[in-house]
Amino acid sequence: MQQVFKNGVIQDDHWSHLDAQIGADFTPEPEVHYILPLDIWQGFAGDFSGFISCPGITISADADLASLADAIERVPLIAIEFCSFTDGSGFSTASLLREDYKFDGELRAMGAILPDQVPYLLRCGFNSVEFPRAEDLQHAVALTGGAGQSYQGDVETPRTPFQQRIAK
Amino acid sequence: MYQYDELDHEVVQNRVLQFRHQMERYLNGDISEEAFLPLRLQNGLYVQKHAPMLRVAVPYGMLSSTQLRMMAKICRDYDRNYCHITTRQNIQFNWVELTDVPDILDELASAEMHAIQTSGNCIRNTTSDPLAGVVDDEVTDPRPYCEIIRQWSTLHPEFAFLPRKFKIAVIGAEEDRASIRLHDIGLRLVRSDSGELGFNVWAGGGLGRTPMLGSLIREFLPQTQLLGYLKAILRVYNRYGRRDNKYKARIKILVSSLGTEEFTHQVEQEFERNYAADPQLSNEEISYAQSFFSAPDYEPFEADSDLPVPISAPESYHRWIERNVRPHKQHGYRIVTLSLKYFGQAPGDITTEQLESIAELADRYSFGEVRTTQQQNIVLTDVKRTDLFNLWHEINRLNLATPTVGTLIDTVCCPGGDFCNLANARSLSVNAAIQQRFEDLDRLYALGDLSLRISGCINACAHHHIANIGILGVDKNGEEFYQITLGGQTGRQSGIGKVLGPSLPHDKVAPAVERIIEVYLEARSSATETFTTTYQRLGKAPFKERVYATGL
Repeated sequence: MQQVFKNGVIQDDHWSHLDAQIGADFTPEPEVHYILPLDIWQGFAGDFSGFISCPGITISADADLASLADAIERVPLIAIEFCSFTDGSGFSTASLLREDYKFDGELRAMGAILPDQVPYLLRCGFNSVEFPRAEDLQHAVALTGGAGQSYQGDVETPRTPFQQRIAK
Repeated sequence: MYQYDELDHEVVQNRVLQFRHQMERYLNGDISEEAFLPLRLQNGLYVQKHAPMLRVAVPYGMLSSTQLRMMAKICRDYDRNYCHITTRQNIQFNWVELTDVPDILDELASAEMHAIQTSGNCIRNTTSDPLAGVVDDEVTDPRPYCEIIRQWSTLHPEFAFLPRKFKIAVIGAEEDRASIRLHDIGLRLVRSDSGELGFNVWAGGGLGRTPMLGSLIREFLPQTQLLGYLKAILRVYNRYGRRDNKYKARIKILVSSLGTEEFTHQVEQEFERNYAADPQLSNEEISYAQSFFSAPDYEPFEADSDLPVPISAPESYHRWIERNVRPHKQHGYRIVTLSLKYFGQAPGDITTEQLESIAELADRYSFGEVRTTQQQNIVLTDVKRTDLFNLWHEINRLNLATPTVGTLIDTVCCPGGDFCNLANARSLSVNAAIQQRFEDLDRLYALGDLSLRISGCINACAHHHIANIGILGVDKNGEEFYQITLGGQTGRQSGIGKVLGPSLPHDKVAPAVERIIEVYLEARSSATETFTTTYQRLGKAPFKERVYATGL
């Protein structure tokens, strides 16, 4: 089973990506939790009766969230796909999902990401990250261990720089 | 000035440790060249023509004497006994060894300094008025707000991988000594009719290939809402700024393509959305930040008449007083500019010995602090007027008393093709040629205030667009050529210079500047009419005609 960095540890991934185009005769395998590309997910028009759970979705880092409000409300998982590790639009997209859309499911980063970016990803509201290479997962764990304090807090508990320090 | 507390130390030390590991992984081959690039840039490390260049942040241009000594130590131990003051108030080391950088960062951290976000596509060092806190025409001191922005923007998780670099400048004075309208965000402190403090917010300024002045997007932003508003601007930019073309990726392109109105609408909408959720700055926090920038322990002086000039004072002292010394808001004190424009030296370069001596002079004469300026000089902000003569003697020996501040040869100049990988042409040799022609100080003074800026490429590090006379190095079939722009300005008004005509070969630039000056001197209505006023009155035709006439 594929592994994923989730909630601070490396663990088996209970989700499976379904990337290929699917035909009309597609039948979901029993006991598989799917992540579908957005267009395929939308193709089901809300009817996921054959699935054991509502599938998650994959969206691009610069997706227009306003047009996805219905899906966001329903899905248990949103995977944001980074097209390049220098394209940071996904950091804002994730923050908006947590802050504005109050999305409280699993928020996953995938695609072109560096392990060094994981501490930032977590602070923007992601709680899982996919890396195809096992050594990147190990690095991600090592890098988040000593992440330490910050000036801004995170998307869950944002703060202004001096807020807590002057109270001391 | 601001002093680190535990959190600041922890943030900076963690960052150094993190970079040390990244460097190890890079050297072991665990991080690719491509992946290491943004990581090293965000720690101030460029790979230059001859050696790596390390750019150290000088937050809003403030340095303590301890920090100056640390700069000197790094020059001596890791570089070639000099460094360089940049046009954004930072300090660059041009000859460091790649593998020494983690150790240098450790040394910096011990002096409460770092190189975080001094390059790369992230929020850069916040710049400000180098005379903040000591001039009369100020609504309030901008430095506490700069420090708040420094902290907020440092390792902000959402804005570390923006479409392009992002620069913020803050001022509190009437005169704009930080060129705020040429920044991605420019903030000017103002007071509302009811006496509340807040900001004019400008966005979308920038130089480079497409120079633009920022647009006013908010007439009055209450000070407590500062960070929420910055976040809204950055978020709109991070989501909608272009990433497909490096030259169209700055926020200025987004602002101009959406139009100021639509851009402002999107920012306001985003701001409204996060306004309720995000904590605001409290008045206590602002007061706390302000407490680090209270006035030093000035000696009280009742009147501020001019001192009797010492009989032994030579002409050069009077010239220095005239050009390099400014009035101070406190009776009995003066603001002194130490010029880094010594003949034959690259503008902004400073040696180990000069750094150490300035540290000592700052301790003795100016409460142990200095400022770096956008003009690539250093300022002692709080010198007793009774100390001026002694100070002048000392800095004269250090070649820091060239009495040319604000004149044509107080040139702003990038390192250019001699050092920089990006440059199309040399800039230092052009500057040297111009300096040579204006060595005669009487002739120079007759010109009054006049700005000259020389950039070695379109990245415009010397900000040539805002100079009265701007020079830009370009590549023409592998040869160095130079484009001249005239009529730019900054200060009370901001304006972008216009291209005079076809670019010129290297050796024709200094003679062309000479001809431009001739036209100005002949045409100005009085000795006080500025270059820009004359240029605006006449248009570019007479300048163009003279420069491109035969015999250049």
